[in-house]
Amino acid sequence: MTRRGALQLVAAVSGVLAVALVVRSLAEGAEAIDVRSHHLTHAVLILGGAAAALALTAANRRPDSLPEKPQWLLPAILGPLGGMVLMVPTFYPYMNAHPTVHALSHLGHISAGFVTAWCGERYRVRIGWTTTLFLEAMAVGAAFGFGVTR
Amino acid sequence: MSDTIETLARPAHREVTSDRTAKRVMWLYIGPGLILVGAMVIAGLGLRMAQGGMHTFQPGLFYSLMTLHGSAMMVGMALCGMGLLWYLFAQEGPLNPTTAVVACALILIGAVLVAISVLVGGFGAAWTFLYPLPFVGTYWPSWATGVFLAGIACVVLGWTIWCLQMLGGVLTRYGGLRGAFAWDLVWSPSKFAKSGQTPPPPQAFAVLVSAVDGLLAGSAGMLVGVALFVRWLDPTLPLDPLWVKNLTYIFGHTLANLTIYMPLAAVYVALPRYTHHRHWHTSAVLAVAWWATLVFVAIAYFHHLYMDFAQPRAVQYIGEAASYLAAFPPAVVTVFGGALLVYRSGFRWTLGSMFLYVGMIGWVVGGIGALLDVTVAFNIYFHNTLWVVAHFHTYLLEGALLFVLGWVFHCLEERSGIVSSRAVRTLIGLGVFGGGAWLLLGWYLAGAQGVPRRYALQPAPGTDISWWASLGGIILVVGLIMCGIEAIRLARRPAHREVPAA
Repeated sequence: MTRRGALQLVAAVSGVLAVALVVRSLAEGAEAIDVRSHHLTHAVLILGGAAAALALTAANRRPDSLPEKPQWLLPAILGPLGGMVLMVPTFYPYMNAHPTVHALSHLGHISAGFVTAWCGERYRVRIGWTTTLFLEAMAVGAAFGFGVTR
Repeated sequence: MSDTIETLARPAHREVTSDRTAKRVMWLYIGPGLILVGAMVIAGLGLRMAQGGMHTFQPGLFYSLMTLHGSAMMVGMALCGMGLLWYLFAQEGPLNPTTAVVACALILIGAVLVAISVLVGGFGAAWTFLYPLPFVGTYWPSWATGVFLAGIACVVLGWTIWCLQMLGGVLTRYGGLRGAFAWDLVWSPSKFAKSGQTPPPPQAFAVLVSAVDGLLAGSAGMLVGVALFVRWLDPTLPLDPLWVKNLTYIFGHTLANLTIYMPLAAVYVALPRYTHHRHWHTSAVLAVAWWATLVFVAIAYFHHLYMDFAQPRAVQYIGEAASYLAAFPPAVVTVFGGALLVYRSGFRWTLGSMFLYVGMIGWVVGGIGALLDVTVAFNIYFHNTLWVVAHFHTYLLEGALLFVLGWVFHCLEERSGIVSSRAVRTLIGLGVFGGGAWLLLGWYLAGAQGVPRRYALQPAPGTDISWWASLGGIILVVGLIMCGIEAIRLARRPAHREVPAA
């Protein structure tokens, strides 16, 4: 298998796994889950979306020497912000009770991860990795205090 | 390795942003930055005089002005450093001016929102408030809190954009992290030398560290900002106070630290130009020092949480160790290196070179004050006293600001081809350094006496010391006004010649 083919496979597997998690939560119906576990689940979904985007961009890598494309930078930053907004614990009780909305919000997390990584790499090579790293750190970090007390 | 070498082999000035455009972007940042800093120096003097009993502010106004002073000073200093670094790195590789303008605009919008929340709404929780502030026990309307948080969010967004642009630039120019960190120079020096490549210049390390640590601070700021904003909208939302405090200080402490490290690049570039044929080159020691700075700046913030018994004990040790270790790279490499660069070099003393050199002294003095404060045995007495205010004002007012002024005067001197007279230099020196030292001494003395910080009415001997220190503040402001007049005089002179930058 070529490097490009392997990367495309990684992208597909990451995306499929993330979407499978969404379908699973839809199939299981209403569920009670504590805020910390919920945040961590979202971090996994975000990672799935971001991994798919990074693998895809690596398979179609732009040359290093290409200048920056500023139009991609704002979505690369708004992606993490969107991801954080979807992790507002105030919405969690409602989402736990409504599986379809819950599944849609999970798709939102996958999209936030994908947009962050994809747009970052489109902006400039290696920036998608950076934005992904920081989005993931924020998502995991949220589990230790955002709507969570000791 | 080959990838790195290939990238480093490219000429440094290929595809660079035009010097005229780069200068415009630089002044777009430094201009408003210095205006903010100047206005906040005046506001700060007003606060100090009120503490000294020279006049009184209405209840609440003191804390609102203190909030504005802190946040606007941070934004102003950051803008100056960002513009300076942007310009210096634009000499190395292409940077898109539009991205820089958008980042600057967002930061200025944020500053305006903060000003509205403080001046109209009366927000007065200080710029690094601790949860449950700014929601509990407040005297300002709720909307002011929302506008303040929105303002800080805009600043964080602009800052993040700038960091990503700079990081992308450095990684592209030097062939990834390995090249940007000068990894091969440190670990395979002979191979590196044989390859004929050149490592990144010293100022590129300031760019790299500011961008990486800046992104860390920005992420923490974004996370805690979203959490506080949601808490503002939904008062039932629980937040872990220790979590909020950690994030607040990752953001606040790191940003404050970086406002010093960013203008340091001016020392690397401009100071050698006042010597005869001496250069500040990248060595393995310098590279390792900046690696250490990258790590220690990111984790030194733990020293703000010594008093938090619930904080894991291990990180308290990490905080103390990192704070001590953070002092070595700048002291050994930059300040000692700078002193050696000047020693017997036939150094030309101008306003620009004077500010750059004295800035290093201020940085060291403030750093020693900080080291005393992070020592647990001292911190028991100095925690949240005016000692804290003393040390950070030392390295901001008599360190970072002097680096920026040094760079500004360096640019003006090169452009006009003239330098200020000895009399003017003496007067400005007496005002800025003499008045500044007098002002700072008041904070150190009061801090050593245990006078608390952020008090409008201070217990004895705070009021008396504040009164005397205010006189030093007035002299400092006079010195800065003379400095401004001299800068305008030099700027109005016709251009002497076009000088290639950095």
